[in-house]
Parts: sequence; structure tokens; C-alpha cells
Amino acid sequence: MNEAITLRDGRIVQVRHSRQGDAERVHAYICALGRSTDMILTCDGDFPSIERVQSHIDLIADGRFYSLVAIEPDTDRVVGNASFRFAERKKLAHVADLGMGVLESHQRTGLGTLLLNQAIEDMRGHADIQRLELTVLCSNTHAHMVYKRAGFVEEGVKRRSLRQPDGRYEDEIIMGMWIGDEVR
Amino acid sequence: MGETIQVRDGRELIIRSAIPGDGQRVYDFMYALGDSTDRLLTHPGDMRTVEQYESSITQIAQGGFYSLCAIDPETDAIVGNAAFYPGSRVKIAHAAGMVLGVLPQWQGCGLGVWLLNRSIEDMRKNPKILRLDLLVMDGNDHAKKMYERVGFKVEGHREKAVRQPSGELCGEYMMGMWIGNGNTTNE
Repeated sequence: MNEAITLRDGRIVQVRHSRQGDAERVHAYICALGRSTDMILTCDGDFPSIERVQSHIDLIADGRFYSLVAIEPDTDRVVGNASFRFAERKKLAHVADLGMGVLESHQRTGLGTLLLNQAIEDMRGHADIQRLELTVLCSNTHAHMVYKRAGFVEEGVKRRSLRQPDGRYEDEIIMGMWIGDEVR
Repeated sequence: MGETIQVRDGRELIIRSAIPGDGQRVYDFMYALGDSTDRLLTHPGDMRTVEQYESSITQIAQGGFYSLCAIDPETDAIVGNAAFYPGSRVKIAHAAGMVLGVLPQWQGCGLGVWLLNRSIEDMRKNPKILRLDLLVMDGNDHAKKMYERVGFKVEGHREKAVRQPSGELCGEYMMGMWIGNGNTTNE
């Protein structure tokens, strides 16, 4: 996938898979996202290093990581992403864990839903993956609704499982979706 | 080193934290445990390496890992273990994930409950840890009841989250317990 997409507000973004050479751009995006919202796990003081981002990109070629990015053509900045991590344990090899985000400048344009749907579609085409899961803060009602609409089902609520830098505790919702054929 | 306890049937065990050099012992224990039950992720076809176990053990000193071992003095082998993994990210550093296991020949003598209670007690003494959580596979009713008895609550159920080597899909219960001050609901 490497397509120019026109968003609801008329702006254009390029949506494609992450590739070698993206590490700095993805790193800058993660830092910008972590500074703009407290709805994700990453926060100021706990940003991954560029080397860590690179190590994830290195896993893509072997099929051990999946990452879709939306890039603003004028600035070459990443403005949104959807990624799936694949478990290392054999008994969990059919499970992929979603992480995604959209920068404030590109929210409410349909980009999040577009990235999510494309990423899910790609997982449906993946031979080993049958279950998708994610964690979302209870307070992130918008994201919760987007995931529900895409087919994720609420499977549980972890009480006070996340502590914000200001000391507030928040509950997290665990969501899952079966995309395999088996019905057992 | 360590503390000697007597289990219900009169046999004695040494209880101590895992220490550098235990990697092979932990590996042998996990291999035997994974071979004895399909209700945990590790099995003989999917082992972590001795080096990986050793590397976890080196994190105990910095508080990055906790591992309490029950050792049979006659064989010097680990026969039961309770481990906690604190969250590695800042926002989840107050939560520790638990893994507990006892070899079949040492089950039914109270060792599991003893390890569980002692390790939770140790976590309560750790000011950084306020929440414990764990996963229990469907069918492991004995373990689930034991966790409920010490205060864990079911927080959800992940459908078909585990695929057994046989191909059978099984779900797992998510359980959690707040050990910090205050109750478990948000203010």
C-alpha cells in the first residue's frame, strides 16, 4: 500500500508501510504524539530511543512487526500510524496487538478510521493472525467508539492499571476481535 | 541461604529469591512445568533460553524483576516459583504481572498458596508496586479459585487468546488486585 488519500477536510496524506529510513520521522511523531495527549502509554521522559524505533522497523521485513504510517507530503512528517505487534510465544502466535495514533492537527478528518480499517484488512490477509487485541483508556471515549465500530469487542476493564504523570490513576479497557475462520 | 519450610505432608523445602547462576535451574523447572501442563505459555517446544532467564535474574537487584523459588534440598532443583514483572513503562511501573507454578509432585501440599501469600506480602512492602495482575487459562479452575481466595478479582476474559500445540483455542481470565491505599474504583 502506498496511496495518496484525500481526507474529509480536503488535505492529502500519503499512507504507506513503514520502511528503512523512517526511524527519525517515526521517532519525531511518537514524541509529538506523547506530548500532545495523555491517552497513550508513551509520555515525556519515557520516549523510545531512535535505536529502539529502528529495531522495530528492522522486524518488519521478517514479518515480526507491522506498521502503517500517514505522511503529510508538504512537510514529510508522520501524522498518524497504526501498528501491530506480534507475540513471541508460540501459543500466542495467532494474536496481534494494535497500537495507533493521529496527531491533533489531523484528528476528526477520518484518518484514524482509515488507518485502522487498512491495518485490520492487512491482518485479515495475514496467514497466521486470527485474533486482534488492543488496550484503550476508559476516558478515551472517542477511540473506544472508533474501535467498537471497527468490530472490536470489550473483553474487560483493568482497574487503575495506568498512572498518569500527574498521579491520577486510570482504568484501561481490553478489546479483542476474532478475524479467523474457526468458530470453536 | 534462604529459609526452610515444611509443607503439609512433612517434606521440607528451601525458600529463597532467585540469584545469579540460577538460570539453568529455572530453565529445568520451566521445562518440567511446561511439560506437565498445557495451562501455561511455556512448553518444551517454546522455551526461553538459559541466558534469558539469567538476564531476568540480574534485574532483581534493581527491582526490575522478582522471583521466589522453592528448592528441594535433596535434588537442589526448583520445584515451585512465584515471579513478578513490574511494568517497564513509566505509566505502568506501579503494576506487576504475576506468574506462579508448582511441579505436579509438589502440588496439593499448600506450596502454591504459601508462595502466593509470601510473594504478595513482599510486593506490599515494595512502595512502587500498587497493583498486581495475572492471566489464568480456561480450565485452570484450581489456580483461579486460589487467586480469588487471596484477593484477585476477574477483570475480563480474553476470548481464544491462546492456541495449544494441539490446535485447541482457549481463553484466559484477566485478574487484578489493588494493593496500594484506597479502593479499586476511581475517585
